[in-house]
Amino acid sequence: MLDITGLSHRYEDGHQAVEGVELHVDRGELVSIVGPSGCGKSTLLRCVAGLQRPSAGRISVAGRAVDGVPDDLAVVFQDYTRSLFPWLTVRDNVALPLRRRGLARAERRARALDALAQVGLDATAGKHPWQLSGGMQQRVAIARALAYRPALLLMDEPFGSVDAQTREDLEDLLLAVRGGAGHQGGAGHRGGAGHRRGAGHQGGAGTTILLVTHDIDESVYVADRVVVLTGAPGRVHSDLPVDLPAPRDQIGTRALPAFVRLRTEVGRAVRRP
Amino acid sequence: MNQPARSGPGPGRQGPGARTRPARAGRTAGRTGSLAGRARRPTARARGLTRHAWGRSLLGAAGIAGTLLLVELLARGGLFDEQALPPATSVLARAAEMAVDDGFLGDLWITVSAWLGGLALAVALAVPAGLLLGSLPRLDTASLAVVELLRPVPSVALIPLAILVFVEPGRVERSLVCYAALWPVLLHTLYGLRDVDPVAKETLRSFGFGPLGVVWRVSLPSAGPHVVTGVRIAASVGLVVAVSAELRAGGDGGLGVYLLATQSGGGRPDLMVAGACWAGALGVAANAVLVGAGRRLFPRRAAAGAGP
Repeated sequence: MLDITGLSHRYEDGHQAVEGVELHVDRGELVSIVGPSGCGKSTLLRCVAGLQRPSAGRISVAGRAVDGVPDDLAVVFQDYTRSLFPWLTVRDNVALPLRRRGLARAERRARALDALAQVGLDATAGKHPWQLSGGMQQRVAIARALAYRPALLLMDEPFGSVDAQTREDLEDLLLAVRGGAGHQGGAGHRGGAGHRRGAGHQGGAGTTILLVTHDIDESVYVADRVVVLTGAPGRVHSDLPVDLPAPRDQIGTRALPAFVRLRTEVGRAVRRP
Repeated sequence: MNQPARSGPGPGRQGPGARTRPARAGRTAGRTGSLAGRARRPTARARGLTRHAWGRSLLGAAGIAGTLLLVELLARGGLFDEQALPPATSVLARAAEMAVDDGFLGDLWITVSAWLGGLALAVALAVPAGLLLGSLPRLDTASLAVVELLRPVPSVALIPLAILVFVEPGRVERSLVCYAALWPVLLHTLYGLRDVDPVAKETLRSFGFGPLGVVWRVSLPSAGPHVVTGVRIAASVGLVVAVSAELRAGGDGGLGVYLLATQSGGGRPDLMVAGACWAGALGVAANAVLVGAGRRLFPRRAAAGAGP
């Protein structure tokens, strides 16, 4: 799904953010990317999103070289207050990107409400983002990405600006939509819209997710694989598969010996210069 | 009296003055509070009035009534020549008569249509121009310099030129209003576009929207409150220019022409002031409409108390 070879980026001020990053991600995988601060995690993500042209290297998404923003992509930014549009209601925020899917107005709205229901916010559809709490706003941003049903979802420290409790809830939300979206918000219960769904990716379990985080526990808890970058300039330090049992939960999973071993391993890798 | 309400942690840290003179503790607390860099704290009673919309309206109405009363007393008291300062009641009476006078309403309409026409043309030109200039990197800096250079030229100074070029008074007036209104709208659009959050733009780009989509769906609504502010300023400038153009260029009608006519035959100060009051009312109405539109279109600004 995603292939990165020899990716390097040097900013105009001479700062070398990443150097020679190699990464391959399969379709449907959730890969978290951790590393010491300033190691170019966000730069890597911006390059994949086509928002930034790397100084060297090759990125391809679904077999096509990235030159500009790839099709079928959604990004959840850390700064939800800046990423949501304050002049639109919550529902219209979620529905807006669906214009790219060529859906009619009614379908866009229905799909937006579906996605909002998935994150438990269907009751706030008529409000404006600034009337919601921070955690709710980030859920709106996540709902917007879910409604779009991208083949590739990039998340740049999506839970970095919310409190610990909300953070755990959002992590579980991510696990839930990945595990269950295929039959929950996905195909067919809204009859008429069914055949148009081909306009977008089917979402849920099939979506490939790249999650940048600085939280080691989180990187292990949600992911299928953890990629650790070295300090600046960022390179791939280690690539660790996460073999935790499928229904994960905040208390049980985090108490498993396998979890503790993995987080120790990731923690060591991050600290090593 | 009002001090117990806000005697939280504050008074404990007050200077000795607050302790030795408890009767004035409330006021002292208020003063040191603002000295400490906190927001301005009016007294509790004034807060009670200014907090509610009706309270503010009440204070405003009291101010207007008081001023009218003062003018009336000064005029009737013989302190001023009645020619120089017509009493408020007679001005108001004339203004009310004018409201049903077809001749005056015709003049008023000529001014309003030229004013709004020029304003609309200015908005139609300046907003797209601003979007175009503001979206092209570096060009907005260059164009801002040009705008800043042209803006200080008073439009009124161009009246003779406009008369020479456009001849017909209606066109002179419209073009001058348009010229005067162009700059504030263009300037505020450019500044508004500079204020657009790059994260908001990148969000839409990442969903696959092209440059035009981003301008239309993010830049324009985001700069909207600035644009509305520009239009508000343009409206008040435009009204000044419209009446000035009529005063200088004449023509077959308009508020300025009406005011010129009241000069003849010894002059009718009450009519002059009443006419000026109507011009002021136009300005107030335009401002109110634009503020209302801004609140409706951009509710966040209104909620944040920053009204566009």
